[in-house]
Amino acid sequence: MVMAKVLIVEDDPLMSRMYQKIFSFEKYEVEVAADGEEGLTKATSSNPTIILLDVMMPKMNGLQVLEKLKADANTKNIPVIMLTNLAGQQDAESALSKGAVKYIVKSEHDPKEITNMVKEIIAGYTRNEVPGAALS
Amino acid sequence: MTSQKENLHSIRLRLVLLLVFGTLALVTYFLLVTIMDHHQEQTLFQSRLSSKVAIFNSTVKNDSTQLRTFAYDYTYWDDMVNFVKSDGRDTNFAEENLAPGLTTFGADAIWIYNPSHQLIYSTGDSDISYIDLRTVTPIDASQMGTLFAHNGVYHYYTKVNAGVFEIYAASIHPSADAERKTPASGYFFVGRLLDKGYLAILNQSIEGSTQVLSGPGVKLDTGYDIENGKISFGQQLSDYRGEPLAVLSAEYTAADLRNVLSSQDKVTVAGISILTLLTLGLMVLLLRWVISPMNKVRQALTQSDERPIHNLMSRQDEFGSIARLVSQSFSQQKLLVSQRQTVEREVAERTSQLQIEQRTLATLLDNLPVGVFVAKAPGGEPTIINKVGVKLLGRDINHSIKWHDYSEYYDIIKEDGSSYPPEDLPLSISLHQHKRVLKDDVVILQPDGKHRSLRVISSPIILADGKVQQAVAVFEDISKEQELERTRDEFFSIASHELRTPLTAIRGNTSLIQQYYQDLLKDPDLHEIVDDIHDSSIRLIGIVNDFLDTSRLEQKHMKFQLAPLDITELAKSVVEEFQVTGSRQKTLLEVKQESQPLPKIMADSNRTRQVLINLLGNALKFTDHGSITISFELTDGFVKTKITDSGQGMSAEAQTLLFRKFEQTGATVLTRDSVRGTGLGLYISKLIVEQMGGHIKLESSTPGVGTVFSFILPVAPPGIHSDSQ
Repeated sequence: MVMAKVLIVEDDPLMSRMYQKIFSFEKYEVEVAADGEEGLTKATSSNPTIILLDVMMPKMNGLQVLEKLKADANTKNIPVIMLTNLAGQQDAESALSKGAVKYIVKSEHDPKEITNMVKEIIAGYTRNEVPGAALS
Repeated sequence: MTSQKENLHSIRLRLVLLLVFGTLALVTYFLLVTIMDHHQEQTLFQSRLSSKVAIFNSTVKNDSTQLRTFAYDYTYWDDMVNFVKSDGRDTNFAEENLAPGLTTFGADAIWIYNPSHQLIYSTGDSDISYIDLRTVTPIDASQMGTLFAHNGVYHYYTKVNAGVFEIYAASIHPSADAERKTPASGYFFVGRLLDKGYLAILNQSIEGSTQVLSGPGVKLDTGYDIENGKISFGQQLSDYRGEPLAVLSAEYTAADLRNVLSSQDKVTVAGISILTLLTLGLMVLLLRWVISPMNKVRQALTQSDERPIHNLMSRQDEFGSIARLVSQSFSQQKLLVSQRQTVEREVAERTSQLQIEQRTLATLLDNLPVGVFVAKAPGGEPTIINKVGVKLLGRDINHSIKWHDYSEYYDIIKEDGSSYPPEDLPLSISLHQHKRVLKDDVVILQPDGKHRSLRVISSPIILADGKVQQAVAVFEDISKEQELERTRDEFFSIASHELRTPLTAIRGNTSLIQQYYQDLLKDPDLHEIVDDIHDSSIRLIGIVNDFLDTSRLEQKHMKFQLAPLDITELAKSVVEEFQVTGSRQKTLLEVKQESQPLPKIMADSNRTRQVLINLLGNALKFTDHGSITISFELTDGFVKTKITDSGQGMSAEAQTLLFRKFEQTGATVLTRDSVRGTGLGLYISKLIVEQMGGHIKLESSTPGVGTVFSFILPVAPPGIHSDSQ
């Protein structure tokens, strides 16, 4: 089986390191970006299987990155999971309407649960059948 | 007033004139009667005069006729011619014929003259023997020629010392000469003295008195004197030349006429007198009864003074009644005046009181730190606005606008910039639905484009009869408050982010240790320490979440995505989650399926789930064994969800503290540790349910038996689908 590649776009080094670890432990290939711009660049250059995208970030926030990803034909089929610290409902709504597959409040889940969710999403959908595309 | 006065005068004048005219008419009537009486008197006297004159003249003529016959018979007698020729010496003839002739014809004296005018014989009645007939002759001898210028018989009167004689003188002729053509053979005179005997005969005939009057200036007086009833008449006696000599005057007193007429006159005079007296009396009475009281009444009315009519009031007539009425009206007038004064005083007092109240109110209003706006029902025309109100609304009062003009006139908008529907403005709701309303979403768009947020409390002013006359809106600027709120919200957002990031890192990393480094955690103490750190981080995250939820719910910033929701399905999925995590416990969790399908409710799925989790969590916490049942029932447009447990229950004291902020079933802070949590769970659930239009409550709780909580949420209206958004 081809190793799935996860792109983690997260500005907080604490969180970034934690997600790097768990996905490494779970045998994923991991790419990391520290802000929105870098995330957008890496999404194009490294061609990830799935993207974990933080909402609050410097330079470009997660929702803006999501919009660009979904606007680009090369990246629009990559499933995106939004990660956030805010429990605000509107953010989730707008993220889902912009094509995110899932919206995860970081504090509510242990890292293992997040890898399980990623696994389910990758198993459930092929690259060409991302529900986010249908939503947009 | 003057015209009234004139009218009254004219009535008095007219009354007097009426009296005068009446009197005049009556006087005229009496005068006419008097004149007619007088005329009648004249007629009566005249006729009486005529009859008496006729009797008188006839008597005189009868007497005279005898005498005349005597003179005629004796003067164409041959014996007489012879007697004269004998110069009166034939004594036989004289004694046989002449002397008896005196008695036969009623004469008093006889004189015989010869043709040469010499007295040859005279004789007289014994009655006049005192007269010497030789010296007392019927005519002076020298005048004989004048008398007898022609032969014939002449009649005249002559005056002598003894009195007046009536004389018949005739020339003497032979009996053959009946026409006295021959020269007179002598002259024969017969006379009668108009003496007492003669007059007595006349007196008898006329029932009056007669007398012979002679002398200078004596005239025949024919006429009557009505006054004393005397009627005068008579005959003029002429001498041989036809000259007036004396008057045979007669007088008669018509006593009968006089008496009748004088009584008639008395009646007339008495009538006039009585009439005059009556008129005068009437005038006096009229003055006393009508004009004087009328004047008094007028005076009283003119001066508005009761004194002039004071004496009138005791009278029982019409003026007494009028006086009493006037007096009554005066007292009523006085009463009215005093009442009016009282009313005016009261009005003045009330007015000043009102002014004070108005000033107080105005000052109060202007010094209030909030805006006040009062408008009339139902049109909404503004009546009062205070200074702060003008400042906050940016415009002064305009009495001509109505409620539907408010939004446009004052640039009232919603927070999103759209125009505020006038019917939704608090004041409009108070005016039309008579409700007290609080709204804090009213925004005034200021000329510089900035927003001023207002909190408005509006109430209808309801009068005693239940009618709404006005409505008052009190409002304050909450822009700063809202900014503060925004700042606080931002603070909470940042705090939550900043707090939760490290907490999440702790939770995640301890979880990594627990899951991937189990071989390093063989020391049970270390294992327990890592577990405690992990659990603490989860609790801290929960606390932070509770605080954030509380803050948002209290600020009403929690957004609810209301959509039709199947509460049974939701409950089932929550129970499933609990059965995964709470499987350690020996408590049976079940959802009681209703036989009839329940209608969907209108609610936010995630928030309803949060309430269910909270209630179930609580139930699990306090239930060591037995069961927890979720059941549903449909009640009047709402679906009631009941969570029944067989747990330890709560004391009555503990029950009163439910749903309150930071309160938990533990009685003191020290006993809190028996259960975990912030104590905000029920409070948050209450706010969530209420903000979705429902209600949450404790149905019952009995220590040792169990507790029943329930919440109701409205049934979704038909036609709304879950995917409608």
